[in-house]
Amino acid sequence: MNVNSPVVLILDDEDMVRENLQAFLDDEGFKTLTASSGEKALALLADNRVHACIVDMRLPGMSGNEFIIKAHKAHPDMRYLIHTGSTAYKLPAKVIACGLTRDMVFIKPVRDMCELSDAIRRLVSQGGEP
Amino acid sequence: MTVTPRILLIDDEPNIRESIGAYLEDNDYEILEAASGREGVDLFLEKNPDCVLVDLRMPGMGGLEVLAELTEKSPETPILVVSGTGVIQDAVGALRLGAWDFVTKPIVDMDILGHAVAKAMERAELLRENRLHKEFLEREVERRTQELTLANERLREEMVQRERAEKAKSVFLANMSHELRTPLNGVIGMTNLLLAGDPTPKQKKFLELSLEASMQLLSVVSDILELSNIDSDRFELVSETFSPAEILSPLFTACASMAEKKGLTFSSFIDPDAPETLFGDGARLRQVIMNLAQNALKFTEQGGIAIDIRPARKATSQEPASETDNEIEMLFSVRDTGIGIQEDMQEEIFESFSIGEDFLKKQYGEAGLGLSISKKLVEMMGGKIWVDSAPGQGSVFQFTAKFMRRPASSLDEIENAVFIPNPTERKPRTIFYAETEPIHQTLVGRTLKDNGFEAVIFEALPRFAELLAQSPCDLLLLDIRPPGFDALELIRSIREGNESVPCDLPIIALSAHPASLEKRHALEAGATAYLAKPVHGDDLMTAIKEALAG
Repeated sequence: MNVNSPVVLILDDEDMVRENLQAFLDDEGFKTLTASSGEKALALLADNRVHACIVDMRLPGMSGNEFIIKAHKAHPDMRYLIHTGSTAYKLPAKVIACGLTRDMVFIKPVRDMCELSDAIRRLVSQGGEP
Repeated sequence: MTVTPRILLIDDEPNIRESIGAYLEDNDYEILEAASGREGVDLFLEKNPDCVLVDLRMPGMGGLEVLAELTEKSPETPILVVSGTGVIQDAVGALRLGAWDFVTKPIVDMDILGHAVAKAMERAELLRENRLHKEFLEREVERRTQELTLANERLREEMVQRERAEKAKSVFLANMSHELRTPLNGVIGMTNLLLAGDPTPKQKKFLELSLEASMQLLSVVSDILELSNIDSDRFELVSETFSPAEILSPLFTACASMAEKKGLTFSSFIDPDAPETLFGDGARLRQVIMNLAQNALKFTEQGGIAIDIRPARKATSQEPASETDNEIEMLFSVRDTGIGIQEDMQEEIFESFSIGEDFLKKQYGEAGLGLSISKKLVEMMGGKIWVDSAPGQGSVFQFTAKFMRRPASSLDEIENAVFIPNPTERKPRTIFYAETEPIHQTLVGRTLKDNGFEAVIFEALPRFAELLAQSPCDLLLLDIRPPGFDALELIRSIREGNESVPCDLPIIALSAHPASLEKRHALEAGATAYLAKPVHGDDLMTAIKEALAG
């Protein structure tokens, strides 16, 4: 891991998922931050430079969708990847307006987690500096 | 026990009361006597007799008055009028007032009176039975109505409860699915971590098996939820325009790569006559094809898998009866060279968790719920699904599904704008159509005819220019890549005025090569418009209308 590694914020209310993603992404060469709620994640964003967020949808407090809409206002260059357990999840128009597309929606659990790290690399290479 | 019938005699003349009374007593009646109308009415109310004989002419209250009062009080009791001759009109008036019969005085033959009384009482009895029966029926109807009302209420209640149960089931399944998926997140995620570490080859193999099993469990959980969703009344198919080739291409790529890993061949074919876009639920269509393709890959060890998509009408060579102008029935087939399915199992495999199969030799168990979900989806798309197979001979899964060619509302617009021929134009416009392929000849020829054009189809292309000169035409439809003929050269020649047709004749170029280069060649040669084959009826009509309008 070097100083220029992309920073990924993992937002999920389940400890195991957070730990799992963090361990995996650390090994893949990312810097990681974790938050268990949208509110905590927004607070972290205020103090840290973050390139991409992996966002769960069903959360205590604000939903993943609300988090993305709020975070996008404050940090327009940041990228998002949706990681949800709901097979019926559909991107709402307001979230599409934040630049998200269907190929950035991953249904939990992902069989091969390399798909996630590949997707984050693609996102970060498109995005500007936060 | 028999009760002696009781008869009330009202007459002011004692000797008549006596003679009639004696006769009736001899015939087993009990007699009550009244000497005046008033007395008769009072006695009637007190004793409630079974029959009344009343004299018409009495001082004080007359017979008619008695009759009127008694008929009103007890319409079921027979009242017979006994009247003297010469007052026949009184008798008729009495009958009108409700008397049951009349007997004329002097009574020569008492048996006539006896007969009249017996007849009247018999009739009264019948009427009473009738009334009782009617009352019984009314009560019965009332009771049944109440029962039905109750049953209806119960049904309504049951329906509400069923809906509630259905909803509870959905919520339960959704929660259960979530609860099962959550720990699977951990299992699959952690297995991934271990795999990403540095496992020995043996550990790697075990981890991969564990991952495979977890994914299988995950798909069963998802399928159960899916099946319950489809079963619920709230489930609806989406209606949107989609391109089959576009939505299926990533699936075909994935299938090809999975086939390659197993050393199998994979091919996919979409008939060029299939519409480029359809209106319906593309995602669900892809899901059905994916289910079938996955099963084919799972149960095939050598050989390969082939997917074929075409309009159903083309496959069966007969017009499906239910297809309308805007509706098209498509036929999809997935062929494999796998283990095959014995005949007695070929229907059961489409049922959810078919219980006919002994689970100890559960050969098809791994197919899970995919086929059952597919069947439901296909039926919702107005089609059917079936399999042709034999053990060791491979299987062909086929299904039909109906789609719209375009959204219904835009069809109306097109019909109004283009399809209705201009009524002021008496003479049909003539279109010459140069085409060597029989299918296109039929399709385009029919579209033209249906829209009021005179279509002349030419097959002998080398002589086409010559034939053109022989009769006038309003528009030329020209396949620009027929074998052995340079159609582009013909277009150029017409434009340069070298042919015996007007050099500004509208020409629409057709080609099965959709490349934009082809279009450029056609337009550069002088074609008015260019259409890629297969040509859609409405695209063709729009192009023709524009070309004719200049």
